[in-house]
Amino acid sequence: MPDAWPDPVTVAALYERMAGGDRIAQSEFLAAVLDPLAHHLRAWRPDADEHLCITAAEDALLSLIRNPSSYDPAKRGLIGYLRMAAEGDFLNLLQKEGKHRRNRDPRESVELAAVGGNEGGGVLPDAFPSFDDPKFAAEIAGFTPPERAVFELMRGGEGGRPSLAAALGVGHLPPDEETREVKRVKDRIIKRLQRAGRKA
Amino acid sequence: MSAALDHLAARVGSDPLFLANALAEFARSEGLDDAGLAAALGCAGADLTRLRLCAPPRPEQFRADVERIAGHFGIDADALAAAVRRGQSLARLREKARPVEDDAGVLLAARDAPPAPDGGGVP
Repeated sequence: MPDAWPDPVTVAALYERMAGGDRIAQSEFLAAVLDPLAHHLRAWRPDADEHLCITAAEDALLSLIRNPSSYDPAKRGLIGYLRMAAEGDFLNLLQKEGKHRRNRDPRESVELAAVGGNEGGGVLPDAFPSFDDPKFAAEIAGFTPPERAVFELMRGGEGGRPSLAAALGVGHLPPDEETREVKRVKDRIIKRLQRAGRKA
Repeated sequence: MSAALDHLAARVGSDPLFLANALAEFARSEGLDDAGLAAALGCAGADLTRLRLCAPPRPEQFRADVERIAGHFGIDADALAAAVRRGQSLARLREKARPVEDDAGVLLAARDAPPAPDGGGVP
């Protein structure tokens, strides 16, 4: 079954052969892990575009082949590492897509929302002035890295809970707790921007 | 063969870390499609994707690497060696001919020698 992971020992052995210079092992390694990795992303983000899942899985594997030292076997298993790397690449692709969409449609460009209370499932509401305004830029510069990642996803219209939870690194929490944590950070971001918007 | 693996093999056609790069250049120079390339190498069409995803032979052990790959896929080592040598030469030429961008984002054409100090070309 191509979507099922081979056992970790097999994957590690293939990787060892590849790292050792076996010219065929690279092909065998990719054939063994590409489909399971893409399948993992589809399961992680069931609403995601199929092409995006495949591209993110490819990106993670190509990064490993181009830069083998990015993986440290002492820190974690190879399958866990690949899943984590592919999820990161997936979020990067989502962010790029969001930017691309905004560039194509000026109506979607960096306008933040009114203070209406309902933030529409994670996407920033839509009547804030431009984020290019210095008072917002200063506030955004003060975000922590996880807040910044969540903000960029919301700004790109990718405010679904799974992607925000992944950006915050809370995807491992029980659903209730994960939802609470995502909401807490989203609310804090929106409040800070609202406060910044009210400053003269 | 999985669609994702086919997609990846096509994507790495210009990546020298993959045999796909040399095979793509060879096929282009001969005007071969996938079926033509498989026939030229004497391999099954279904094996092309996995063949493309192999690492290319290392220069210092070219023959041994080619024989290992050819043996694994049941193809003729001489045909594979010839295709890979030609493909790698063409890939190098293509790389040299490609304009490069300097730090300021200005396109620079490749050339063999710096311009004459007076700015003139021909003495």
